[in-house]
Amino acid sequence: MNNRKDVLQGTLDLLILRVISREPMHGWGIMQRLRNLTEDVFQVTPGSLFPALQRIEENGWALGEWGVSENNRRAKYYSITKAGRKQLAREEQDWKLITTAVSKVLEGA
Amino acid sequence: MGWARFRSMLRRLLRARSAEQALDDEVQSYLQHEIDARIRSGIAPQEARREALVEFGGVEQVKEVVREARTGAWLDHLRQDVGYAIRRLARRPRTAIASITALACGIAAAAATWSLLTAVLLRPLPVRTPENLFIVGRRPVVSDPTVRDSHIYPLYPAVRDSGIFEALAAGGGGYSVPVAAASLPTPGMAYFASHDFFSTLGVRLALGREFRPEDDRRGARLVVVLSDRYWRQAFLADPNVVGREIIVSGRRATVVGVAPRGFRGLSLAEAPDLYLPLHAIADVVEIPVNNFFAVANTRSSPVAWITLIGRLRDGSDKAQAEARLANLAPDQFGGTFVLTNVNRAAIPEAARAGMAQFTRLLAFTVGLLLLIACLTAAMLLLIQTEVRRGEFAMRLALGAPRARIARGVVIEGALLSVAGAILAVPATQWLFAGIQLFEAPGGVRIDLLELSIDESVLLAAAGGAVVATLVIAVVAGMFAFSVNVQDALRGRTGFATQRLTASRTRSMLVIGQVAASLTLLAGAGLLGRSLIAALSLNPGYDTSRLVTGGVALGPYGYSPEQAAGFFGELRQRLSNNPSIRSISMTLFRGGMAPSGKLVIDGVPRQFPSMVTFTGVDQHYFSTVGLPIRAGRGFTSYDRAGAPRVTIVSESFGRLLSDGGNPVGRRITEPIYPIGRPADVIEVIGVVPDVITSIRTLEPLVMYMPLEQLPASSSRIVVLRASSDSASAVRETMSAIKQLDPAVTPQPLLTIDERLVQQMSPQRFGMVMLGGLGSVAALLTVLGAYVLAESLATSRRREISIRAALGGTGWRLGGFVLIETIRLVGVGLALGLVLAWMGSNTIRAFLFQVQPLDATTLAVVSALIFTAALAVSLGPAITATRVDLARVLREE
Repeated sequence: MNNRKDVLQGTLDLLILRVISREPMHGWGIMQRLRNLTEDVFQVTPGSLFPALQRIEENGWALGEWGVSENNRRAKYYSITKAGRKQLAREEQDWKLITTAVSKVLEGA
Repeated sequence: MGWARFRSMLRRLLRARSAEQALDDEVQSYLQHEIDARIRSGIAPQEARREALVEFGGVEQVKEVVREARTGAWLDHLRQDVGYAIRRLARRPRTAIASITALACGIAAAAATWSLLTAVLLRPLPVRTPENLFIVGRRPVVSDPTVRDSHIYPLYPAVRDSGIFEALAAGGGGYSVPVAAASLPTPGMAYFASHDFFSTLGVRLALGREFRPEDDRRGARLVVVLSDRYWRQAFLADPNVVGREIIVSGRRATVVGVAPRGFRGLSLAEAPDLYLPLHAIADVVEIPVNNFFAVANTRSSPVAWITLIGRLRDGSDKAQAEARLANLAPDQFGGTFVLTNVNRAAIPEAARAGMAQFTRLLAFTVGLLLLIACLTAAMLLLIQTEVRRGEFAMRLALGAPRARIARGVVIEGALLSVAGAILAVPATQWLFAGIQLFEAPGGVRIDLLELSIDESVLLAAAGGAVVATLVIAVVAGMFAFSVNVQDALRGRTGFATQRLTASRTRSMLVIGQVAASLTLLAGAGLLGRSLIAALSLNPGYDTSRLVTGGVALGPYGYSPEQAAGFFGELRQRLSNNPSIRSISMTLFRGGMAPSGKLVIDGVPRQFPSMVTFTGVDQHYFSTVGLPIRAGRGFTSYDRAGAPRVTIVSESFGRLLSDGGNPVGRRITEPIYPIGRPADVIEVIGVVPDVITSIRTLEPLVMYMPLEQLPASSSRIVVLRASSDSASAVRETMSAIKQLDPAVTPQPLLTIDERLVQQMSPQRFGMVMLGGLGSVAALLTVLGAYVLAESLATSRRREISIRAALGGTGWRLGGFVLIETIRLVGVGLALGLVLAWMGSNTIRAFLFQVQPLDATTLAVVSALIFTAALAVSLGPAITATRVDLARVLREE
C-alpha cells in the first residue's frame, strides 16, 4: 500500500484519454486498467475519477453512452472523440516535454 | 467557456433531474462492478458489498464532488438558493410584504429625487453646442456684485452689430397675455423673441417656420410660434395648426410654427406657452407707462427686459468677449460684462445657491429614508431569529459552509430589494404626480419639468435595489456568520438562551431608526414652524379671509374710462353680495427700485428695497383692517386736482423720517406725464405694514388716492370675505364673467395663500420630511415593539423563576422598559448629532426659526420616546404574568 501514489495533478485526464483511445470503456473498467498498467502504483479514487470523466465529457473529448458490460450489467461507456484524440496528442507532447526537462535536470544536477 | 462545455451545461440545466439520475446510475454501476469483482475472488456477497462501499469512500460525498466540479455548478446552487429563499419568504408573507413596502418607499423616493435633480441640474438645454452659448450679463455698478441679465433695449443693437458674437438673439418673457383660439380667451405666458432666436440656439422647430425679419418689426402683422406643451394642451396637437388664426391680446395672430418637444425656453423658472416677435411687445403688452424701446421723448424710464443670448465662435475666448463688450460704449453701458453659459443660466441667478442647498437637503433626506428602509427590511428578515438560528445551526451541523448560509440570506435580501424596486416604479410615478404641486427654489415649477418614468428612473431604481441588497447583506450576513452551532441547538430546546448576537443587531437597528426618524421629523417640524412664522407676519388682522387678485382690462380693448365703468359696476354688484363683507379697488403703479433715488423734502435719497406706489380707493384701509397710526386717512377732498397726498407704510415712514414722525414730509413725484412739472406729494398718514412677500419683511409703500393717479384700465380687487374665502372668490369670478365673459382675471388668492405659495420649497420639504419621517417613526415603533417582545420572551424562564421566588410587578417587567429607554435614549442622542450635522443643509429654508430649535427637537424627541415606551409596555406587562409551571412544562 505504501508505494501507491496519488495521480499527479493534471495527468489523470491524459491517462484516461489514453486508456479509452484503444476501445470504449466504462468507469470501473478504466480504473482497473489504470491499476494494471501502473502495477498498482497509481491510486485513483472514485472521488477523482468521476469528476475527471465528467470534465472529459463536458469538454467534448469523449462521448458517454450507456451499454451492457462483460458481466451483464448496465454501464456508461466512454469513447474518445476526434477532439479527444487531438487533446490526447497535445497532452502527450506536453508530458514528454516536461519529463525530458525534469530528467535533464535530475541527471545534470 | 468552450462551446462543448456550454452545450453540456445547458443540456444539464434543462434536464436537471435526468443528469442527477445519470450520475446516480453511473455510481451504482461502478459499485456493482466492484462488488462483482470481489464476489468472483471468493468473498461472500454481504462482505463484498461492505468492502466495496468502504473502498468507494462515501457515495454522497463523491456525487457532491462531481456536482461541484460541473460547469455552471454555481448556477445550480443559485437556483437552489433562490428557490429556497422564495419558499422561506412565502412562509412569512406579512413580513415579506412589509419589507418590500419599506424598500419600495425608499427606492421610489430615491428614484424620484434623482430624476428631479437630473432634470434641474444635469440635463442640459436642448440646444446645439450649448458650450458656445452665453447669456450676456452686466454689472452696472462696480460696488454692487449683482449681475443683471435683463437690459434696456439699446444694448441689443449695440452688441448685435459689434460682431463680438457669431450670432446674437434677444428675448424677454414672463408676460401673461389673453389668448383665444376657438373658445374664450385664457391667459398664456408669452416670450418675445428676436427673429433669429431659434436659429441662434440651434433649435429646429417641430412644425412650420420661425420668425422672419419682417415679422419682427413694430406694428407688423402678429405671428406666433407655439410651445410643444401649449400646442398639445390648447390645440390638441393639431398637425394643421400652422396657418391658423388666433387672437392674442385682442389682436389677430397667425400661427407659423411649433417648437420641438423638450424645448421650454431658456429658464427653468418659466415655460412660455407662445413665442411672439420681440418687437411686438409694445403692441401686445399694454402697460402704458412701460417704455420698452427706451424711447427718448417720454418721461418714463426705459424698462430693462431684454435678455441677450450670444453664440461665440468655436474656440473663441469668453474673457476676451467680455472685455470687448466692456469697451463697446463705456459711457452708455459702463460696468463689467459677465457671460454665463446657458445651461448655468437656466437656473435663475437668485436660486442657484438655493438649488444647491435644496439638492443637499433632498439627498440627505432620501439617503436617510433609504437607510431606514434597508434597516427595516434587514430587521424583518431577522424577526424570527429563534427559528432561523435553529435552522442555521442545523444546516451548519450538516456541513453546509457558513458562506453558503450567508449567501442564502443575501439572496433573500436581493429578492426583497428587486421586488421593492419593481414596486418602486409605479410608486415613483405617483410621487411625480405628488411633487408636481410644488415649486423648487427660484420658482422652478416642478410640473413644467415634465418628469416621467424614463431610463434614468429605472436605472436609479436598480441602483437603489443594489444599495438595499448590500446593506441587508452586511447586516443579515453578519448575523449568519455569528451563529454558534452549540448555542443555537441548545437554544432550540428552550433552555436559558444566549441571544446576545441577535438582540445586539436588533438594538443597533432600533438605535439607527430612532436617530433617523428624529432627524426627519425635526426637519419637518422646523419647516412647519417656518410656515407658521410666515403666516404670523401680519398680526392684528385676519389674512386668511383677505382675497386679492389683479384684473387687467387693457388686453380686452377697454379704455381707462370704460374700465372705470366696469369696476364701478363690479363693486356695486359685489358690495350687495352676502359672502363679501367689504370690497376695495387698488392699483399697482410701479415703484422706485433701490438703485433709483426719491427726492424727499428736496433731498434725493436711496432706499434699501423697492418703494411701491399703490393707488387705493377710500375703502381700502377699512377692507384690509389697517388702522391709521398717525396723521389722517384719505377723505373725499383728496380727489383729482386737489393737493397730492400719500399715506405710507410704517417701515417706509420710519426710514423717511429717520425714526421720527413722517407726517408732513414732502416727496417729489418720480414718474409724471409729459407736459407738466412733477407734483410734490405730502405724507398725511401712517398705516401698519402689510407683508405679502416673505422676502420683503419691511414693505416700503406709498398709498395714494386712485383719483390722483393717471387713469388705467387695470385694478387689483381686494375683498374681505364674510366667512368663507372660497365662496367669496367664486362670487367675484361669476360677477366678472357676467359683466364680460371674455375677461379672465389673475388668480384670486388670500394673502395667506400668497405667502404659502412663496414658501413652496418649505412646504415641499415639510410634506416630504414629514411623510418620510412618519414612515420612519412608524418603523421605529415597530422595531421597538419587536425588540421588547423578543427581550421578554428570551428571559421568560428567568422571570418565571423570580416570580416563583416572590418577585412582583415592576421588578419583573421593568428590565424591558429600561432596555427600551436605554436604546431610545441612545438613538435620540445619535439623532441629535445627525440633526446637528444636517443643520447647515436646512438652514437656508428656515424662516425665523433656528436649525437647532430646542422646542422642536424636544417635542419630536418626546413624541418618539413616548411612542416607543408605549408599545414596549405590552411585552413588559406580559413578562410579569409568566407562570413557572407552564414554562417548565414547555421545556
